[in-house]
Amino acid sequence: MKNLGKAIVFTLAVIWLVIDVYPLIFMVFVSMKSSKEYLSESIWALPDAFDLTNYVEVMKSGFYIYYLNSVFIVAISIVVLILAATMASYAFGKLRFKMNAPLYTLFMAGMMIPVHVTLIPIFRITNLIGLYNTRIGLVGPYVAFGLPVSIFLLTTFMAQVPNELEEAAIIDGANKWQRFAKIAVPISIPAINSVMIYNIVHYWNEFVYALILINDPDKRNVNLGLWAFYGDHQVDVPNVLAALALSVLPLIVTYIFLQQKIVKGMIAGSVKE
Amino acid sequence: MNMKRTILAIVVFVLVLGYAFAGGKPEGEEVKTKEEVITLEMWGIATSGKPTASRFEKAIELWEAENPNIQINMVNTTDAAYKTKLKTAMGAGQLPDIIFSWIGTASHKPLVDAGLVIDMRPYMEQGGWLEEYSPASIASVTYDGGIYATMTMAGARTVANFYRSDIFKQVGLGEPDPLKPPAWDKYKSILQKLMGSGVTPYAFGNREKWPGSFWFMFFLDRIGGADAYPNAADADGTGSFTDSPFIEAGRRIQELVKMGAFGEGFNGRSHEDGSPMALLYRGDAAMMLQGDWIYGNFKKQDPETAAVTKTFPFPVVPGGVGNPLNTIGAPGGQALSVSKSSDHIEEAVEFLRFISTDDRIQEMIVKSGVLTYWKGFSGMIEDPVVAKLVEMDSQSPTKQLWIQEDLPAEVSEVYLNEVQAIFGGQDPAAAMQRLEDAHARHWAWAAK
Amino acid sequence: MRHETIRHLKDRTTTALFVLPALIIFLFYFVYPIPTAAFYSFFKWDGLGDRVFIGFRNWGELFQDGFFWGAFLNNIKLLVLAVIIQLSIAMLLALFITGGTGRVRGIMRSFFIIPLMLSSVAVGLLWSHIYEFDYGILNTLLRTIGLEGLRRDWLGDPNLAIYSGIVATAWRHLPFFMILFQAAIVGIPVPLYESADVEGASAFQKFRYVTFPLIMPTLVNALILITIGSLKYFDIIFALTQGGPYNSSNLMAIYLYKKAFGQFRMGYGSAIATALFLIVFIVVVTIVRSLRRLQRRVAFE
Repeated sequence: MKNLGKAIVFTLAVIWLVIDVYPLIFMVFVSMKSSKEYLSESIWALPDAFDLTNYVEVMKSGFYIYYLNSVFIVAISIVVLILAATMASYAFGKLRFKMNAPLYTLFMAGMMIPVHVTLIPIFRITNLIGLYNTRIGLVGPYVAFGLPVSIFLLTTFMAQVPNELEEAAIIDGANKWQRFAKIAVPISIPAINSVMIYNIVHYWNEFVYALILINDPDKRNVNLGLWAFYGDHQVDVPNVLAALALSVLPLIVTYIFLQQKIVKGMIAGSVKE
Repeated sequence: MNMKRTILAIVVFVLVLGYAFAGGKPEGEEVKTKEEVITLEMWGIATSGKPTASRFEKAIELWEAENPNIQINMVNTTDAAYKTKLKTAMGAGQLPDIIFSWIGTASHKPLVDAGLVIDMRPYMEQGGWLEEYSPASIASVTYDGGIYATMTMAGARTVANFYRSDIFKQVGLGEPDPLKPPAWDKYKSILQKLMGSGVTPYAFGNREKWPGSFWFMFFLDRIGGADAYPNAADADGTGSFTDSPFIEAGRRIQELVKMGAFGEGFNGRSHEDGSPMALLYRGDAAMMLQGDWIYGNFKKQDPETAAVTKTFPFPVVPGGVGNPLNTIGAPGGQALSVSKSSDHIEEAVEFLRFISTDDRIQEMIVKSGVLTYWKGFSGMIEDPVVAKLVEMDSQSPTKQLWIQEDLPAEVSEVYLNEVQAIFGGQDPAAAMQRLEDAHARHWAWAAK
Repeated sequence: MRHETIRHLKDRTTTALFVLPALIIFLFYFVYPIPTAAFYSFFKWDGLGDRVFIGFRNWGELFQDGFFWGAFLNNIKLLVLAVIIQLSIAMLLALFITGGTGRVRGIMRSFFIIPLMLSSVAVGLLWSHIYEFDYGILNTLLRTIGLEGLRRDWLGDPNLAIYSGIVATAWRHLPFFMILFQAAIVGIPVPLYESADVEGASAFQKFRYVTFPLIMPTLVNALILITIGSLKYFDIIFALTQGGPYNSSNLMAIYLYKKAFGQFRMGYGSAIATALFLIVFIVVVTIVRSLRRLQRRVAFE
């Protein structure tokens, strides 16, 4: 009976795997076709040649610049976000102070703001501080946008850290920073991991803020860079998919990299007894 | 701790990389040499995948060679994202020096009404600038006597039936006259012959809604004449969208849908991702009612199909009062306006004068295969298909501008939705009533 | 006395320093918009020219706006289906992944994450093709297994469009909840499972009495996130249908975007935005309160 149950679960998982992988395979196959091939021949046909001409074309068209821009913007934003969010979550989750509940609610309210409402104000502010049309100018809005959810997830996690650990550390004379860095953060690594994945994906695929705050083509991120493949009321699908496939690659690599680190971290620092 | 050091290392690495590639000069920094260099900022939609991109590039090159102290910085965005970008900047009070708009009440007129762009008539009346245009094209950007944009860099737009002559031959059809609209019965027999041979007559993707609008506009014009729409749309017009030509146009569309002229699944099929093109190239469909630009797409994507592509006009509708030679589309050119708050109005106007009147630029545009009526250039059109389209278009007494650009944006959205609903089978009378209501509501709202 | 006061101040300062970076960035960029939106909602403004004060007229129009409430209904549909589909599948996948070690599961896990990594543009293009009437894999599959009559115009039929969008959205977003659940499940101490085994518990019982209660906080978080996300949602539905056909797959955020940026009605768009914010706020507060009441009634051991 047990084996049947396991078999069913496994089958369902495989079915889901197919549903997940099919679009990716479709994307890769189409990205290897020429535009003519894609439109003129059956959509099921394998590419004439498994060649990477589209990819080369995409890269040559300056796409690697957009890549670097995206990496630059996302890396800085994530670092700032994680630092600010973990610190704030530690305060909300573990420290007692008067403004705890109101400020936490303020951040929660931030989760409920639809992004388009913020466009004009953020444009104004960015212009005011002279960061219009700069890549660094995107970091502020990105971090601000990512803070509510990150703080939400991290605070609930940190609040669960057993108080005994904190109290023991206090007795040992540790101050807030030490308790934060040596206890709270390491224990919260699974949550930090989730938060990082959530935000990295979001930042990497972000479009609207980049649209309104960036003008120069050489400052564009990956998603704006796709415009090179939009013609007169027509999308050059194979090239766009090639660009998108290239775009997904670093994300997957980052995810795998993070997963390794997390697993190692959990095995090594397993504190929950 | 290890995690933090790793992160730090990554950050430093990225920062270094970033600055290495950043190239350094912040936006708008002016290089002060002996002469002061002015940079004009121009916003448009000529993204690098479009034919207009290279035209603008060359035009700017020519200008900057002769005017090194006036640089042009063009910022391009895709069509869909352009409105968001422009409106955000405008909402925050920041306008570029030169602004592109789609002509009509939906996009251009609001800028004029808000007093954001200058009247260029005083400049145009000097030096023969105004004479470069056909009356129709300049009329489309004229409001209360003031001319609020120049029209350039692109050709006129017209719509025709593009068909694959090889498929027609295969099923035993002759080639329709490219200049004379076919009679309705003859037209229907073409459709029936195609369907009888297992070919879907039209490759049609209406998810974006504007392809369907062409059908409605043509039927409306054929049935009700060129005045039907303006009467209904003008604020002080005597007509209404519920007048019978509108409803009749809806019924004709549904007649074709029921016949199977469009196949199935067209309201969900996207035009812009190329799906209808695929049907045409694979021979599953034989025709497309589309704008002249589609021919350029054919040439780029499937030269074999382009080689057998020909055109014929929209058919005549029995009982209609419209002139069968009327066409729909847009007069030539992209509308470029100068912002009133620009610091360099004179220079911006000079630049626009240059790109609108310079012979080299006009020659380049014509040679790139667009429809244009600039005097003395029509002989330069090399492609016979394009030449026929120009002929067809130039014999038309009236050309109706795209209704979805001509109506105020709010009403335009309802219009497109209702036409799509008609394609989907909804009652045309009810649809037009809703459009009329939305129209009335908008003007009541705008009035207060 | 003074020593204590100074230490107290220093204590407070340190606490403040923890919160300050986040707070500054947030206040600067984010807190400004909502009151501004609320403010603009009382004006007639096309986003370009002058603002004209019109009091509650936008709000009056909003209450009677069939399109807005239709969009609201779609958000509710999205919410309910998201909770049911996304959370359950994510949970099953999370259980599967944590149910054993080994390379196969590890590889599968990396593939499960893929939808999350794709941008809305990519998901829009890919699912457009899946749903395409003639060549899309969905209809083609139905045809090959003989269910030709079930083929539909998935994106063009006003009755189906929103559901097609919801499925694509679920596909794309649930891997995140899988990660969330996985992290929570992994945190459950193994001895608890071992003692359950000793008592002869089945897989289902182990889930019900060990796993489920212990990951409850995460489930609650997931519920809150998915609620807020669904009510606010824009991306993939917009990429697939732009709210059509005929407004049948409109969402509140899409409607807001169209009004404010497409139709020169910033004032009205601001009213929609404020209403959206209030709706989310009310719904979330209600959920949190109900859950707290539920928690107090149920006793865990």
